[in-house]
This record gives sequence, structure tokens and C-alpha cells, in this order.
Amino acid sequence: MNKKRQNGITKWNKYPSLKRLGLVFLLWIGILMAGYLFTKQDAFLYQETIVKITHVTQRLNSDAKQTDPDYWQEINAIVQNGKDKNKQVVFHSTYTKSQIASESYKKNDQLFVRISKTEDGTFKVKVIDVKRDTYVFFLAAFMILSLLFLAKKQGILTLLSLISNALVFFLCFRGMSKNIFFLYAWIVLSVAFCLITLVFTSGFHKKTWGALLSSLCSVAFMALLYQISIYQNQQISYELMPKMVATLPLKEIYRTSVMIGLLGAVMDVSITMQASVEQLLIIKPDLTLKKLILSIQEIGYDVMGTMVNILFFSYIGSSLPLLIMKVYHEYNLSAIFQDTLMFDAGRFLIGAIGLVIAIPISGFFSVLLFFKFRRKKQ
Amino acid sequence: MKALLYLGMLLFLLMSAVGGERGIKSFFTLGINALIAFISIYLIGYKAPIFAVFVLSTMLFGVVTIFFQNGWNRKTKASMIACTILTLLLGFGIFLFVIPAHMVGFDEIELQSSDATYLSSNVSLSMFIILLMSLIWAMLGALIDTSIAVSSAMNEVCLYKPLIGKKELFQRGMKFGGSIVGTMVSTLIFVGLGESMMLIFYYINYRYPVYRILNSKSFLLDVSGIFISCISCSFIIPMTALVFAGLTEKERKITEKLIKKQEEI
Repeated sequence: MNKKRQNGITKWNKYPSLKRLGLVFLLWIGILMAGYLFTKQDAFLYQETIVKITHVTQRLNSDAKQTDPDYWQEINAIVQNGKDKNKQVVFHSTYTKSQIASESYKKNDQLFVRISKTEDGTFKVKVIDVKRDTYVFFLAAFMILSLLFLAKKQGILTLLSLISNALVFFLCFRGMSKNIFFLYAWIVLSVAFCLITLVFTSGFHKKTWGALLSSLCSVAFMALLYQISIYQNQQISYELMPKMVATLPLKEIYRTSVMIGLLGAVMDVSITMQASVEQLLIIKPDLTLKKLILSIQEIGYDVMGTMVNILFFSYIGSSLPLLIMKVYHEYNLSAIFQDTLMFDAGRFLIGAIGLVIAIPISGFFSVLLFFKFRRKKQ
Repeated sequence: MKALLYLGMLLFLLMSAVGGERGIKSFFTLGINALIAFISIYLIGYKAPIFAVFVLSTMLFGVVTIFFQNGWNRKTKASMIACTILTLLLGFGIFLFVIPAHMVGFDEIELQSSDATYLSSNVSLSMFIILLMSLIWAMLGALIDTSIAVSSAMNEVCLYKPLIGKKELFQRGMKFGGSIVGTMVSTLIFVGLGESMMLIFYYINYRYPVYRILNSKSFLLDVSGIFISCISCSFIIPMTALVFAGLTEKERKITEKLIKKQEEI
């Protein structure tokens, strides 16, 4: 019995027994519940005033036949922290039925507010934002747990690489003066992100260096293409980008965002290619170059179609709400394209071309690295 | 504008050069998907019943991406079933999550843009379903890709070992899935990081304190797109492995019987 259990632990690739699965599941629920309870009670950590809604009464404030009727809410709430703790406050708020630009508050919601005393002794409450940390925690914890559950060691390494990438990003931002950062950050960041992610996820192997070389080459190629096609283009008005800050160098930021969005896909293709070629040559050491190239093409087909889909859905999903609202308000097609779609379309196209170009490049490097090396050995 | 057209043409040329016939097929899959997205956005914009459009377009995406691109066989069938089940489950999960988290509608940064007041006036659409749609669409690519990868690998295993047991087949699928989910997650996160780059500089520029970022709608909206994709591509692995192992169970029993008969003869 003991031996069995040990085997189960040391051989992580062996699938856990039902008992262990149950334990893991309980642990999951425990962590999620503990986090939930904690983040619901963590008002004392904040300096801003937080109130918890105890009671809401609402009524229709306008004609119900209106396209987007208004509602009026009277909200009773209790202050959760600070010197006014446990004090009752009452305030009013309005929202529209679609909730597109306003929030409808419900019982037990927690809000950040600013409370000021008026001259006649009553409180005036201004809502700043909803407290959403519980939900951020929930999503992050759920993702991390599912990654650890499925990929185990690989999952931990992936998480570590993500954390180090984030650290590098902020160190880079702190370390460079602003102008230099916006001009050159994409170069430093692409090299650092590639190095960190590949070393963490596949270790110090020959395939890692092959993948690193081929992804850097692909990124360099795409940077050139980006320079010619989009960066030099004078017609693009970057001020139309959503969520932009007009005082920042938008052209440079857009380039940084495009180049970083490209990295993941390129690295994925490169490491898959290197790993499969290595595996192939271990299984069939007497493979001819011609047959190897055929297999590389085969791997390329498999990777390409699906990766392009990932990029496509990811970009279309994120720009969807704005697109729908613009179509709804009858903006014409060229305006919609220019304002909202264009920047995501640029990101998508550069990313997709990057991952397609990464296939022959990484194929070339894998042949160079594994095939040539094998010959020398012989 | 022209630059993007040229880039699109370049993409087509490269895909057909690198991928041959299958590259062209992938490009057409992409084109059809773009057309579906375009038509459904216009249908919703012109006040067609939004939920029906959402369900229909999502199903069409699945059918086109799985069956048109990868053919009609047992691995694509298993993927389709697994993806459908997981999309329904995740849709329900998002439904429970989104409303208490106050994620519906424009976020506070979008509301400050110049045309936000015009865009948010007189809207009769359900912003909740639009949000659901954007989250589900964003994860669809990763979901389908992982599912197809897992079922193809299991199919390979079945071809080499036709008599493999249900449990072992499931374990093989899980193991293979575990080996690809790491790179998949990094890909998704880099794509998400690229998309949120503007937002990050917005926070830095206006000196948002950390607690404001963690509680803001814009942050939660961006993060949820990425994280739900990651969650979906982790959970699709056991789902696909389970469905595929279940589907091949019958075939395995038939082969077993045949082999037994042959041995008797």
C-alpha cells in the first residue's frame, strides 16, 4: 500500500487515483472558499471608505416604453472600515436598463465611496467604484489551480515564467527613461520574454536554444515587415485607438503591443518544431534529409491552421462589444474599420504572418541543429 | 488601410506556400469565420434577436473550424461534443460570475472616450449577452485548438494500439494535454498582454494605485478574457479525453470480438 502511494507521487505522469483526485478537489474548494471569505472581509486593508449594501429599493424613473428606461435606486449601506465604521448611510443612484454606462447595485455589493459631511449634519456619499477584488482573485486562483492540476511540473514552470516576465517588464519600465523605453522597449522585452519563457518551460536543452534562435529570427523578420507596412505608414491615426493616452507616444506603444502579442505564437511554433524534430531523430536516427523536411512540413500544417484560429478568436472577441455598439448606432463601415477594427486587425495579421513564417525558420534551425550535429557524431 | 490588405494577401501567400493545400483550407476557414463574425455583428446591430444570433454563430464557428478544417471523423466528432459541453458549462459559469462582479457594460476608461456618451445612449440591447458573447468568442480558438490536438494524439494512440483500454487511453490523453497546456497558456497570455498594452500604460500614466487597478472594471474585463481562455483550454483536456475514450469504447469491443473469433478459427 505504502509503495503504491509512493509510486503515485513520484511518477507524476501516472494519473492519480480516485482518492487523490478527491483530495485535490477538496483542496481546491478549500482554497477558493478561503480566498472568497477573506476577500469579502478585507475592507480593513483599504484606506478608502468601503460600504456594504444592506437594502435597495428601486423604481422606474421614466417611461417604460423608452428604449433604455431609467431606474432610480435608494441604497442603504453600512460603512465597513475607517473611523466611520458600522455607520449607516443612505444614498441615491440611477441606472439605465441596459447598464451600459451605469451600474445597478444589489444587496451585499461592496462599493468604494467618498463620504463628506454637509453643513446640516447629513452625509453625502459619492460612489467611486465597485469592489471587485473577490472576482479577480477567484479567476486568477481558478486558472492557476487548473493549470497546476493538469500540467503539474510544467504548470509550475509556466507560472514562474509568467511571474518573471512581469518582473522584467516593470524593471525595464523603471530602469529606462521614458523616451528610450517607448522607442526600444520592444526589442529588450522580446528578447527577455523569449529567453525567460523558453528556458523556464523547456529547460537547458539544445532544443531550447534552437527555439530561441528561431523565434528571435522570426521576430526580427516581423519587426522588419512591421516597419515597412505599418510603422512607416503615415495614414494611420493612432489617436483613434481605444483606451489611448494622448500624451504618450502612441505609435511606439502600438508597435510594442504588436510585437509582444506576436511572441507567444512564434515561441509556441518554434518549440513544438524543435521538440518534434528532436523526438523524430531519436526514434528514427537514419532519416534522410528529404524525409525529414517532409515531416517538418507535416508538423507545420498541423500547427499553422489552429494557431491562426487562436489569434483570430482572441482578437475578435475582445473588440466585439465596441464593434456591436458602433454598428447599432449606424456608424458607416469605413469609420468602424478605421477606429476600432484596424488596430486589432493589424495585431492579428502581424501575429498570423509571424507564426506562419516561424515554421520554415524553425524547421531550418532544427535541421541545422539536430541533423547536422547527428552527422558529426557518426 | 491598404497596408492591411497587402498584409492579408501576404498571409494568404505564405499560408499556401508553407501549408500547401491545407494552408489554403486554413485560410478559407479563417475567411468563413470572419464572414460569420461580420454577419452576426451586423445582425445584432440591426436588432435581430441577440441570443439566437449568439448561439447560432458560436455553433457555426465550431462546425466550420472543427469539421471544415479537420474533416469528418471520430476525432473531430469527439472534439465537437467535448467543446459543446464545455462551452455550455463555461457559459453557465460566466453567467453566475459576471453579474455580481459588475462587469456588464462599458468600463470606466471607455466611458471617458469622446464618443462614449453617444454610443451609450438609447441602447436596447442586452449588454450582458454581448459580454457573454465576447468572452465565449475569445476563448473559442484556444478551446477548439486544444481539443483537436488532444483527440488527434489519442487517435494516434488508438491506431498504434487498437486494443488499448478505456482508462489507459484517457490517461494518455491527459498526459499529452498536460504537455501542451503550458505553451498554450503562454501564447494566450502574450496575446492578452499585447492587447492590454494600452491599458497598462494608461494605468501607469494616470498613476492608478494598485488597489484601484485590482478593483477596476477595465482590469477585470481584460483579465477575464485571458483567464477564461486559459481555464477553458485546461478543462477541455479531460473533457475531450473522456469523450474520445467513451466514443472509441464500442469500436474497441468490436475489434476485440473479431480478434477472438479469428483466434478460435
